Amino acid sequence: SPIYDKKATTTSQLKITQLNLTRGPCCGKTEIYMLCDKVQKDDIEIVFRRGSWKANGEFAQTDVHRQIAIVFKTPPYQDQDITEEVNVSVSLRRISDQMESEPVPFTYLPQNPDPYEVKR
Amino acid sequence: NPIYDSKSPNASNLKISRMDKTCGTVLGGDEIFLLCDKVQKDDIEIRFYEEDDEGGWEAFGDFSPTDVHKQYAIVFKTPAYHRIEIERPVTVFLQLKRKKAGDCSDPKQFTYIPQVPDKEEVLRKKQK
Repeated sequence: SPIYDKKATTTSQLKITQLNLTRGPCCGKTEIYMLCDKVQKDDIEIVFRRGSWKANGEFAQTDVHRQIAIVFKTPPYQDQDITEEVNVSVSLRRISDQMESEPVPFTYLPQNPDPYEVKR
Repeated sequence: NPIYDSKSPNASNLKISRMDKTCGTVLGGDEIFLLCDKVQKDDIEIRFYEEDDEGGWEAFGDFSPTDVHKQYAIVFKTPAYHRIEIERPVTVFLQLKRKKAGDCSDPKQFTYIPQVPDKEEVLRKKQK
């Protein structure tokens, strides 16, 4: 089995500790603060997933704060016409070796929860 | 003059880099994610303050050492403003402050928003 250097961010375990928001509109662009274990700013991505759908959180290297926090924007969900909340997963992924963190949940909200106002 | 060891967190300058919110309710209790330069989890506080001729006001953000993430981020709750009955938003300052040495970061602004009057109160006022 491989021997990991716990201090090396090229091989260390990835971990999401906390998000400041876990819900946002399906159009995306919600600004999120993520606290995490040490990452390399040029070797990390944030992956949103549900089934076969996948999209990345948007951020620049300057949005990675001291290796332990990332400020990013949510990607738009694939379907802009959802009428109910959709739960997706969010993971950190190291680009170089494709290692991933445990996922945390995020919920996309419909733009207009009841477009035909049937529930009124 | 004191000689500082630049590698010691106790001597380095305090700095707030970024906050996820810069406004919140006058009642306090809003959760804020603050990104900062290196701090010691048991020797740091977040001071909200206002300066005026009558001595001003100060109150402290609410968090425990476990809310300090890897020395570079703090998740805390805002303190209540000293007057709940404000009619317009009030802007105050906050800064990081080391408990032992007493030194502070440059301030950032924070705006307290008045309470939204509840429906009953609005109706009562309309009836007058």
